[in-house]
Amino acid sequence: MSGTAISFAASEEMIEAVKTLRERDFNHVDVYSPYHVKKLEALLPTRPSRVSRAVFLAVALGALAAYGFMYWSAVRLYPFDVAGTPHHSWPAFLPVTFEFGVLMGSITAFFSVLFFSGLPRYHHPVFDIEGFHRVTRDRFVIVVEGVSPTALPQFEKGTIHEF
Amino acid sequence: MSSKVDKVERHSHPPDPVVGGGLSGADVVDDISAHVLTDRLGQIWWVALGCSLLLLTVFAISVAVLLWKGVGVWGIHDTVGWGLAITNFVWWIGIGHAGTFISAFLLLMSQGWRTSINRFAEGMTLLAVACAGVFPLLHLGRPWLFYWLMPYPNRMALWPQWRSPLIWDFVAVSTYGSVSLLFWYLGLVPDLAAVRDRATGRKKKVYALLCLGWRGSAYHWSYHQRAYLILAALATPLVVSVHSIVSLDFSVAILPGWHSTIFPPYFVAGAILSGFAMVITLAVPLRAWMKLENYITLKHLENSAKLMLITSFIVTYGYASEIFFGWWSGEVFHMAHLKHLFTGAYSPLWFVVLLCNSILPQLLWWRKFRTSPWALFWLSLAVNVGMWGERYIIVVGTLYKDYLPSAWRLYHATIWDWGLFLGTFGLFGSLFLLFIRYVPVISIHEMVELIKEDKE
Repeated sequence: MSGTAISFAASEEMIEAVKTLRERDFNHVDVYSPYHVKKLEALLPTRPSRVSRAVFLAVALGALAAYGFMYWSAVRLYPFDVAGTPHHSWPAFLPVTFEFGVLMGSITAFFSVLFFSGLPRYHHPVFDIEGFHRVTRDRFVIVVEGVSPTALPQFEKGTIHEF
Repeated sequence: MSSKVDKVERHSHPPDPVVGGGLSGADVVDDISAHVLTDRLGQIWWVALGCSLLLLTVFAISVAVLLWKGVGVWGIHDTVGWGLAITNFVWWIGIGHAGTFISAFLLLMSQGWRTSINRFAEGMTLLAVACAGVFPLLHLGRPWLFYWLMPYPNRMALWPQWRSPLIWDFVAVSTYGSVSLLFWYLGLVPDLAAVRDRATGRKKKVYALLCLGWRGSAYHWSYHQRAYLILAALATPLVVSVHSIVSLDFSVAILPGWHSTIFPPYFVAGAILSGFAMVITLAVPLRAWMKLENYITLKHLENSAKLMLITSFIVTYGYASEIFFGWWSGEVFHMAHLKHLFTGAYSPLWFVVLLCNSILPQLLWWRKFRTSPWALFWLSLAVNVGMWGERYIIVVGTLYKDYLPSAWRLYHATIWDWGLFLGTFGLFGSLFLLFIRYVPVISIHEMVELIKEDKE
């Protein structure tokens, strides 16, 4: 991977630059920032709903599996009588159904972030960009993949690095 | 419009800021990572760690003796089968609830002020759940067979009893522990990356591994923030469900003092009361020691104090309703239970409970009290004691006089009961000290975002 990195000190300048780049059809644009810049969601093709969908599926399947398993074991496999309560005591099955659904959903939420982000990954070419460590402090770095600095529009404020 | 003006005029004091000292985002990053990377805590940290490790030794010895000799070394007997172990379990797990309340529920409610205390409150939750989990496990008698609680194919073809609250409890507590861990770690990943980028040498490598290679890409953030919000939404019902299920361990049994429909909300309120008390108990010394006054401001302490006042009322309502319905039932054993509560062997403790959980929190009506950190600290200690006492009264106060008067028997905790309880403070203390030393104790990326939003 190679390309051009443009580093900004203020998020507003970075957002303007991203807008310009997107207008001029630069597709492989990513922005590295110290926190979640909400305005970028509209400018870049991020797809956070992939996480939501995965979690929904996991909660539904987890809850269904838990209930189904309780039904199978308590009604089919080894039914026994306790104080005359029905074998299929559905209200008593709900706490475990709920908890297991939540557990599966949470595990999926955590690991889907890693999966969709391609993490864990110890090293990445962008780490070689000069001053990249300041991304976790106070810098906003736009990376345009596969494009040399000369092919890019001019920005007033940003500092340009080729890598 | 006019109501808005009134509101401004009624507040004669300027509101306390969420972030003090006019800090910029970069200051926060440098300051909090310096806490992790340089030894700012000094010798006191080592002394504190030493004391905690000593208590951890007490814990290890108590567990070893218990495993070697069996639960007979505890004070439990046929009448009072649930002694200190279950009291401690309910107390510790209750403490955890404030952490989840702060980090999950207040996030959903967009309460920006939660940001600077959520990380250490989540840490507190995680460790409190770990301490809680020890007790039911050891109370099993043969803890190495704990996996019998799980459904697994076995040659007896037996399955767990799904109609029992005890199995719900097992599932609820293990879910709670796992979800708390995932929520805590997900929030920590970008902060560990911030520490990595400030670190050098071997430390850099360690934090680079711990942060899983976080780069702060816009794509990472969008997944991360969505997942964080979803985890908050999933964890919020756990604030209510876990202690409700714990309370069902009691209220499903038909004993006077237990068999009451008020139990789930009453337990949840008690959990949040004791949890916020523990937050204050930890936050006040911590902010003075680590010089976090700019992050954990008087506003945080005051808000926690207000939540303590509210939950104290709910808990008091629980006491009142139990007493009223006991009397209203007119049932002999229920009436006797009430009489024993006020005049029996454990009545002195009951009055301490009332004093600590219902009467002393009334001091929180005064703003001056709510904004005096050390006054809050002492009150929070009293509430911690009161809430422990309440659980003792619930467990022992009900069991020692059951439906069979010939079986009535007092309960005395033995040295091994107390040793294990003290020992969990060692477990909590050692892990908490490691946490504040090696992990960003304030959520860095959320603070930076909060400061940025404040300025806009």
